[in-house]
This record gives sequence, C-alpha cells and structure tokens, in this order.
Amino acid sequence: MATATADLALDLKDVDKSYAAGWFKRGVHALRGIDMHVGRGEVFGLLGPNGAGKSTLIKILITVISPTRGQGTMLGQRIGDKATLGRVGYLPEHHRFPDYLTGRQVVEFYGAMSGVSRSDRKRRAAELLDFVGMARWADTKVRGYSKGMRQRVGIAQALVNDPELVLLDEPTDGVDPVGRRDIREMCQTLKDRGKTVFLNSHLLSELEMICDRVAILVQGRVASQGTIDSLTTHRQRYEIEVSSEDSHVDTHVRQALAPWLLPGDGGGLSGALPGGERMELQFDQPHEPARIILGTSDAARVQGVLDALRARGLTLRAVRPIRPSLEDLFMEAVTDPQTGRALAPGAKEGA
Amino acid sequence: MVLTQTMAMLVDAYRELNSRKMFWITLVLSGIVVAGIACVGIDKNGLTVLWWSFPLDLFNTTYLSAAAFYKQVFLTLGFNIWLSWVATILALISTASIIPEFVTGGSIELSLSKPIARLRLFLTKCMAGLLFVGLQVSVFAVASFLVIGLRGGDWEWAIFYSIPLVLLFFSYLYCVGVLVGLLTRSTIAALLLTLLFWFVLFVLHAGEQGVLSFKLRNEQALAEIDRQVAALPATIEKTQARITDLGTPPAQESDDDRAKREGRIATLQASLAGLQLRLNNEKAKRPEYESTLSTLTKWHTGLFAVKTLLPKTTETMALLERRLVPMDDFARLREAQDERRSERRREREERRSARDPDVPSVEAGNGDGGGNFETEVSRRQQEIVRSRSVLWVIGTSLAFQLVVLGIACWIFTRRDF
Repeated sequence: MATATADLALDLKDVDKSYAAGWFKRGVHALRGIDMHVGRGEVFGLLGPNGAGKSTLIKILITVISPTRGQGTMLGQRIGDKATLGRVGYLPEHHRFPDYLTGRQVVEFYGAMSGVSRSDRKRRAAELLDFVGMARWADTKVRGYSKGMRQRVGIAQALVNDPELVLLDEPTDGVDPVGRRDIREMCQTLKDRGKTVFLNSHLLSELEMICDRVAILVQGRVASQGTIDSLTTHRQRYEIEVSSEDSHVDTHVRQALAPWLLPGDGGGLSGALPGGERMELQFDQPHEPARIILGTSDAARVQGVLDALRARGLTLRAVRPIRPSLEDLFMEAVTDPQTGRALAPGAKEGA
Repeated sequence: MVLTQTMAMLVDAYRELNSRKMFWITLVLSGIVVAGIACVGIDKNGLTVLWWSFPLDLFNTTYLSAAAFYKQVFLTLGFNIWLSWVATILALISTASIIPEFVTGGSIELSLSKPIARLRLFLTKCMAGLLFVGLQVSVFAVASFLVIGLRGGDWEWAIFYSIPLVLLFFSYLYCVGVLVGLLTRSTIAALLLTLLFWFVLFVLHAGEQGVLSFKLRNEQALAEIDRQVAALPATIEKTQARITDLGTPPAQESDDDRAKREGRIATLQASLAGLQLRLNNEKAKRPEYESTLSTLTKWHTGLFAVKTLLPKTTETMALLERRLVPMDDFARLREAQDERRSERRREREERRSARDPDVPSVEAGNGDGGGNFETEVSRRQQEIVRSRSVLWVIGTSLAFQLVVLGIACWIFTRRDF
C-alpha cells in the first residue's frame, strides 16, 4: 500500500522495545520491529493476546515510554514530539482520575493540561459530558462513579482538546452492553467528524463492527494488518449442504466427488479441486444432510462440484459463501502453525 | 499554554489539599496554637492566662516588655515547637503521597500524554507540594503578627521571615521524600525514609553542637590553666615573702603573739604547699588537655564538613531567632547574669578574708574569670553558631536540595512508566 505520509495519522517503521523487568532484570523484548500505518479519518483496531505489546506500542506513541529503536511519525511529526500531543487524545487502559475532582473538573483539568483556553474547555467540557451521557453526573465527584461512568468521563477528557487522533486503550473494559454500544457510536461519530480513532481492544466483535482496518500483534510482531475484507478474502470458503432421499448420503456424495477425493485419506473425507483448493466432507448421521466445504472464494470454481452432486441425484439444500470472522483471523494469528496450539501469552523474553 | 498548564496544576494541587482532612486538621491546630499564644499575657505583676493572674517576681513587665514576651513565646512555642516539629510532621504526612500517586500507573500516563515537557511537569508537581506548607505557615504568620501587634503593641514585620524560612526548611526534607517516592512509588517508604533522614540531620546537628561545646570547654580550660600557671608563681612568691616576714620575730613579742605568728606561718606554709601542688598539677594537666582538644577539633572539623554537605534544618530555623532576638539582647542577659555571679563571689571572698586575712585568695588574683566558665563557653558557642553565614546555612542546604532534585528530575525525565 503506497500512501503518502501526509495522509497518514500514524506511520511507524521498525519500532522496537526491549527492557529489563523484575528483581532479576529479566530481559523482555516487547516489540520486535513494528511497521504500521494508520490513515487519517479511519477507525483502526489493534488486536493481540495479553502481553503482545499493544499497550507498549500506545505508550510509545504518547511518550510514556521511549522505543529502543525505530522511527515514525504521528500526525506528520516525529514520534516523541511533545507539541503534537496537543492534537492527540488518549484514554489509558487502567486510568486513575483524581477522585477529589468531579467529572467536569476532570475534563477541564486535562483540557488545561492540553493547552485549551479556559472558555473553550468550559464549553467543551459541557458538550462532551453530554456527548458521553454524563451531563447529569458532571458535578459529582469521580469517587462516586461506576467503572462505566469513569470510562465515559475518560473518553470525554480524551476529546476535550478536539484531537485529530484519538488513542483509546480498552475503552469498553468494564462497560455494560449499553455502554459498549454507546462507545461504538461515539467512535463512529468521531470518524464522521473526520477524526482518526486508534482502538486497542480484546473485544473482537466490537472491533469488527467499527474498524476500517486492523492489525494483529502477536509476541511483539505484526502478524497481519489491513482492512478486514482484505484479510478475510483469501480465507473465504464455500459450504454446500446436500441430502439424499435414502439414508446413504455419505456414499452418494463420495461417489459424486470421487474424481477429486484423495485416495486413502481419512476414509475419503478430503480432496482437492483442479485448481488445488482444499475440499472437505463432513458427515453426521446417514439420514442427515452432509456438508462439503470448498476452500475457495470463487463461485465459478464451485459450479463443477454442484453439477456433479446434482448429476448423482442429491438435493442441494444450501450453498453459501463463508467469510471468516475477526475471531477466526485472530485465532489463526495466535496459533502456532506447527503445534496447532495457541502461542504462549506474553512478550518474548530475551533481547 | 505554559501559564494555563501551570495554573491548572496549582489549582489541582489546591483541590487535592482541600480534599485532605489533614490540611484542615493542621489549620485548625494552628489556630488553636495562635489562640493559645493570645490567651497568655504579661503585666506588671506577672503572668496572665485569660482572666487569671499569676504574680511572679522576675517575670513581669518591669523586666520584660510585652512585645519581647510575645516574640519569645512565638519563637519558642509557635516557631520552634509548632512549625518546626508538629506542623512539619503533619505536612510530611500530608505531602508524602503526592509523588507516589502522581507516578502511579493510570495517572502518570494521562499527565505524560499532554503537551508538557517532563521536566516542567515534574518540577511544577513538586512545587505544588510546597503549597501545603506555604498556605499553613502564611496563615500562622499572619495570625501571630496580629497577636503580637494587638497584645504586645509591636507590629513585628520580621515574623513574616518565618514563611520563606519554614518553606526552605520543609523543602530540604520534602526533596528527599520526592526522590524516595519517585524511586519506590510508595507513600509509606517516602514518609519513613524522610523522617529517618530528618532524624539523621537532627543527630548530626546535636553531635556537632555537642562536640563544639566540649571543644570550647577544653579551650576554655586550657586558657584557665595558662592563666593559673602564669598567676600562681606570683602568689607563691607573695606567700613566701609573707612567710619570710613572719619568720622574723618583732623585738618584743609576748608568748601569745608568738604562738599566733607561728600559727600564721604554719597556715601560710600549708597554703604555699597547696599552691605549689596546684601549680604542678596545672602544668601536668596541660598536655592531656591539648591532646583532647586536638582530637575534639578533628572530630568537629569532620562533623562540620559532613554537615556542610547536608541540609541545615536547625540553623535555617534559627535564622528567624537571629532576626527577632538580636545578639545585644543575649549580651545584656549575660552581663546581668555575670554581674549577679560576681556579686555572690565578692560576698564569699569578703567573708573568707574576714575569717583569715593572711591566706591568699584561692582565685590567685584571677579576678572573676574562673567563675564564668559556663557562661563563657555558652557565649562563645552562641557567637560561633551566629557567626555562620546565611550563605553557608541556606546556600549549602539549597545545593543539597538541588542535587537531590536534580537526580529525581533526571530519573523522571528518562524513566519508562
């Protein structure tokens, strides 16, 4: 993807972070050469298992920690430029607002810290607290807020400086379903207003609904990155469901697809189309419909199989394209291809 | 933007203090202390507490003005006890959590994600911590100023020196708490280690003053020995001459007179033996005193050098006393004490001479110097302490503070949170 730097809200190249942790100064390699691009005005999702380095990456962006190596720009300025942070909003994962302040005072205080003038921050605090549904509790002390209320105030403080880029680290953490929906809608509204939203979340279904592009981080590396469509297209498949009038559907299906089945493989349960695409047969009970899964997203390549099944007198009950979910992509990314098991959580040790 | 951010942090610091019960507790206690000072008074009969009067011979307005009394009460009770100890401990308890809470996860990320340089953020936060003491001591100083003015009739503006002095004093300790809080992120560790550091400073100061006192006593004792060694030969000679005189009997002497004369000779000879023994003892003592003085001087030099590197809490607070109570007052007090001692000594000498006119004075013509040993040591110690320059007291303490804060700033600006 060739995108001009000016069009990018974030452009990271080879960002690396190692540090020593614990009493025994165990070496941790949290980020291993991250390359990432986030376009302006898009909602970008960062996924990854625990310890993958997601929060470390966000902390590098907001200068809380410094990278060991690497370069990049945020809103056209080099990473680490303090002045740029005035155009960025940030909600940390486990934020702690001073509990002696009210919601309004929190928003106004962080607005002042971002350099927003007194009149502007008073006006914006009122608007934003209304925007996040906290207008009614604006003058209540934070210590009396629920987790969801704190999260809403956190989002309001992240937006008080009218940022061009909003970094939200687990914004739906501890929030009820209604709150999650509200946060999704807020992200959509921000996008509609031309803001760039960078989301770090474990809730894949949430991200799938609102993100234009995602990156999956595994053990400090970007396992995959792109639009959800581009990531899922080559993993798309077709599922055909067939039945027969007698109770020998498995026999009929095997005979119909005999030219493509691999001999001696699992009792004739798998095969390959002429183009090499994988075919898989699934049988339950003899009188129940069988399923044929074809590893292709090309409808034309399915026609031959359908013809063969019809010719054998089988009834086509359903033919449907199957797009993998973000969860499927995520699980694929975090699964060790050699062992078939999930990779150990946490950052990789050693420099 | 700089002004907006700084103001926001100061307002936030005020709100934080305002939310802490300890701030208000300390303020109320300050009020009670000032009210207590205002309740006590002095009149021509003695001490007064509210409407009760306690007649005292030496403690009344004949000897001490009301203004001087109130200044002394302010210094002793308000400044040296309340502000220097109790209020400072309460302030340390209140402010110990400021930096640990500031650098706690979830809080520090929010502050660092704003367009403000780390150094400025940290220093502003540190300064905000001093707000506690600044507000407390300001209120106390104003109240004390009014009490001294209204009750003592003296509007003593020097009271307001207590504000910067207490701030300085507190900042010496606070900077240590800041560093420990930053390193450990623990309020308890910051508080306990700061109190321990204060205790070390206190012990060091007490040790240095103790060694100085011993050293001055030794110097004074040596001077006394030299004076005795110089004066005793003349007394011995005088006694010998008197014995020689008495040894020649008059032309006509009754038995009674002779017995009296021989008795006097015997007394003088005993006195002469005593004087010679004393001269020898004084000479023998000198090398021992010289050696002790040399050791004490080395110890004092070492302690003084260590003290120079560390904050001088006691001396900083004592600067107010220098302002409020001039050295002349001490001199007048000492002179009065010396005069009273001299009077008593003269009376003793007169009584002794009346009893036995031939025996030379034990003081061996030393005037009244030997009797003022303690006073002299105390005077010299006071002079030495007061002669220590403000630059040494505050300058070296600030240098320590700069180093500690510099280390804290260096850590804060480089650390990954």
